Amino acid sequence: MSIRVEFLGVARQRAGIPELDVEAGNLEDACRALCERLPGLRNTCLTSSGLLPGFLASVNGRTFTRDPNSSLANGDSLIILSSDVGG
Amino acid sequence: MDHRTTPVPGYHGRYLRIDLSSQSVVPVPIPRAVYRRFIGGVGLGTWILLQETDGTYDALAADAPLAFVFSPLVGSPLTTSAKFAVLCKSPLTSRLNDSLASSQFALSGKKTGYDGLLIRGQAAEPTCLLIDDDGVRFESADDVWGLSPATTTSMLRNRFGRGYHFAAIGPAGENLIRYATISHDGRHAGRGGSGAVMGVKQLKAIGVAGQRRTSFADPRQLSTYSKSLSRLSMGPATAKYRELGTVTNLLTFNRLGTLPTRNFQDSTFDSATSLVPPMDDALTTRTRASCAACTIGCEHIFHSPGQPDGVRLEYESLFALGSLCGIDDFDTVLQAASMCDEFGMDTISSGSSIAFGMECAERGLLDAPDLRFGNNRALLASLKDIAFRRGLGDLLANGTRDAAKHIGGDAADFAPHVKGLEIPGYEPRALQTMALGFAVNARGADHNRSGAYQIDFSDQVDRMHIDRQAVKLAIDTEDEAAIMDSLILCKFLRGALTDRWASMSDMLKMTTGFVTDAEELTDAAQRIISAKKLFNIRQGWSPAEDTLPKRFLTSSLTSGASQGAVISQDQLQELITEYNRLRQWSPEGWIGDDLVRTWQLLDRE
Repeated sequence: MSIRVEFLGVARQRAGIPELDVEAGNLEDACRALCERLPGLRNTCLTSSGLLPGFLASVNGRTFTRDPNSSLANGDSLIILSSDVGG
Repeated sequence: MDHRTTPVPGYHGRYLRIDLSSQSVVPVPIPRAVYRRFIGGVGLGTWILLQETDGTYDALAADAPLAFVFSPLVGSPLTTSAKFAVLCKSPLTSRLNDSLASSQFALSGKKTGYDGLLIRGQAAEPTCLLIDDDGVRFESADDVWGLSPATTTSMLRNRFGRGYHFAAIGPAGENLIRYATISHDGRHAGRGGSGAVMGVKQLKAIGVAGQRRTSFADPRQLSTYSKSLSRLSMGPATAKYRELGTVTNLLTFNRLGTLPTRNFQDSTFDSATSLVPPMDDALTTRTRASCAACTIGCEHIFHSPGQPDGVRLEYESLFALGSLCGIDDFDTVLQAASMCDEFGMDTISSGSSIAFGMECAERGLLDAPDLRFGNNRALLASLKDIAFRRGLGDLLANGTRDAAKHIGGDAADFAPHVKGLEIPGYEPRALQTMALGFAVNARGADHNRSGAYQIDFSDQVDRMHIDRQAVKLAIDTEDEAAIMDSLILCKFLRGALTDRWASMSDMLKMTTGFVTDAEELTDAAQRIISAKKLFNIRQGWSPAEDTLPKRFLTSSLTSGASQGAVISQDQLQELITEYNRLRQWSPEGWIGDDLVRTWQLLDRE
């Protein structure tokens, strides 16, 4: 499934780009793909198995998850952001 | 010395009552048991106000009390602990107002030998209070009346010595703007208009200096723990604040459809990207700073061609003076924020009052042809008009609730406030746990006393369709804030503390010797929040105040990721009733005499 990953805040700093399309069926798949394609994210925001503490994912800007098994549908936007949203 | 008033480590055992009318001072002992029940900061300040007042009174009466309160952690090496609380009856809401500010005033203020300064009365002329080891002096402030807080502070330090640290008001406080701030080191006790309470007393500034340190219960462990906490505070959990500052929230909120725009008519702003300069922007540079005794360093000071000296900017100022007013020019927002600093005005209420005025003008409820969303010049001119109460500024200077009453028509339906306090940068229809937090909070719409947005931005609730299960989660954030505001610690530390209740218990034990646990601290939070409610009930609170403006209960959001979100009156009321039940209050939110006794909210009949 083709997913558009968007980076906000610190995640965008680490990624160096605002967004990237990856193939992923769940959050873990997406993290694995991101580790391979954007080394700046590896071990700073995420690992190949999920998000590091301090980071959060939002699916289409409506729901939030940190669960690596959270499923993604074709065309979803996956937003990676700091878990301390607000402040 | 009476055992009941022997100082506890971390405290001085007394506060100082200062009467500006008679130029007299009285030290007032604080019973030991009160510290354990109310801790310090906001908790202790609420207890002091309850002790010092009885029935309802005018927030701007000459004798209205104004409390500056310190905490047991002030003066310790714990990062972010150099803070003080300011409490009074708000002239904006007529309810309890508790504001926090940071830095040297807290450190020097506590070293005067008091846990709080309680100011009553009214000076005969503009006055500067000086409090130090030799006592209290009442000095003329004629020469600094009318000046900005920064200039005032500079002149007073030149006159009285660099050893003094000052909290001061600007022209907005002098002119009794209902959301005037008390300023210190470029930071502000910002919300609710405590600056106007100083202004009506003709109290331009308070200078503190002293050498009276408190002991701490376990200084060795405190030192070791503080080093560890400082290391944690510099880790990934606070990277956002350190590297980007809170201004980065604007793009995040825009993407999530939670960014208040054009007086809450929208929750996305098409020009959001123009309001946040990229880190490598050629025209805008930024420097970083931090409060005294803070290792996080969240302050980002922006320098632009229009503001070469730099302006400290936070998300709340950026949204209120930017998207809320439809302003898409970053330099204009910087200039507006700088003006608020210079006048001593709360940026949230300033921006909200102007945005509300813009919508009223666009709807034909106000005759103000230039007052339009997106008009940079109108924003800047309105700020000045408000600070000096000129023209429409005089109307907007009293906040949106009062302005709506005067404007009439359906203006009250879209005046963005709760209990008179303007809503901060969190769209309540899209963040419904926060909506509950806004509705029930003692000081009105506030994101610091209730951190319920943390629940909305998590996997614990569906933020656009919350149910009763969310109420306990909202209460947990409110309880946590009550303890953090009483200890006093910066909330930006939250993410760095794995077990926050255990960490807060540890800090309290090392400074005061009180051995507590999560259960006792939760009880203390319930007590502090009930004490605030009791103050409000004395001042005329009624259940009808715990609500949101009609717009949020009837109109759904029309764009962005939160499209379609709305919270109904019935839904909100169900949440509020559940909140009151869990707080052990009546279903309507009243506090019974039995609860006042059980929680020991008062130390007098």
